[in-house]
Amino acid sequence: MQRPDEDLEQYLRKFQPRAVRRLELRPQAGNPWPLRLAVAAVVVLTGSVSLWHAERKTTKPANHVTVQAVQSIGMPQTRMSTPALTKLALDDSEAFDALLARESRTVLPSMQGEHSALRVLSKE
Amino acid sequence: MVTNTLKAAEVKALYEKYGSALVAYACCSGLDFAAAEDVVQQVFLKLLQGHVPVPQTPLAYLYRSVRNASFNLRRNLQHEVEMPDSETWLVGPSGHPEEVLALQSALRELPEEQRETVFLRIWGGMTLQEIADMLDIPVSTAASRYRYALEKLRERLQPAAEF
Repeated sequence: MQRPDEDLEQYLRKFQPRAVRRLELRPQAGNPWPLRLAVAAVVVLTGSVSLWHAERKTTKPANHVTVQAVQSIGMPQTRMSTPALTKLALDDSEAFDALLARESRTVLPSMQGEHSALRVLSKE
Repeated sequence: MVTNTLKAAEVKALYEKYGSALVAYACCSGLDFAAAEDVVQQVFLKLLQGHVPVPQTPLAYLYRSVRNASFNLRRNLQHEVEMPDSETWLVGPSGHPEEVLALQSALRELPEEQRETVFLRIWGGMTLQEIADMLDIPVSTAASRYRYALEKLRERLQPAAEF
């Protein structure tokens, strides 16, 4: 009985399993949440910066450039009061004249334009 | 039981050594060849991910994993338990597909537990003790299943085959 079994086993072992395809190393399907959170954070950050930038532009004072220009020529940021102007006129007439000249550039109407009101009046 | 996680090279070496037999085992349990390949690949990809503790002697573990995965796939896809009768998952010594189909047909006619036992012994290279441990049955049961399986195979193959 033992011998026939061995013969049959030998016969069966002559058959081999069919070859299979190579082991495919597919990309690991890990947890997608860290990547999604990172993308969301970038989007929120970009949006916040854009909003902050836009808001900064709209809230900037209209006379911002003028104030800067005045500062650049040494004018005080706030206009001087009448008593202070009087004191300046009495103490230092040259400084007072310079101040008036600078002030006139922004306060008085421009006479540079061809049809400015003062030019028209002067012709009349 | 001592377990460890395997490196990629070790997993690939195991696949090279046992992959084809494991696919044939999955076919023997009722899957078609393509589905059997997918099942075995999934088992090895899990090993590659490194989260699975593997015993020091991984052969029984691999067969058990393929067995469970095949069972789950058959259940989920409602595959028939019957093996595909025109597809070969063995290669014969003569190269004639008729010889292979005759053997596969004889295997298909065996009760599942006998078919499994004879496959693990002949093509899995396992001892009866290892088969018993893997299937959680007494060695005597494994031995009797194997003996009955050989008797039935001899009856079915004898007229044509020479052994």
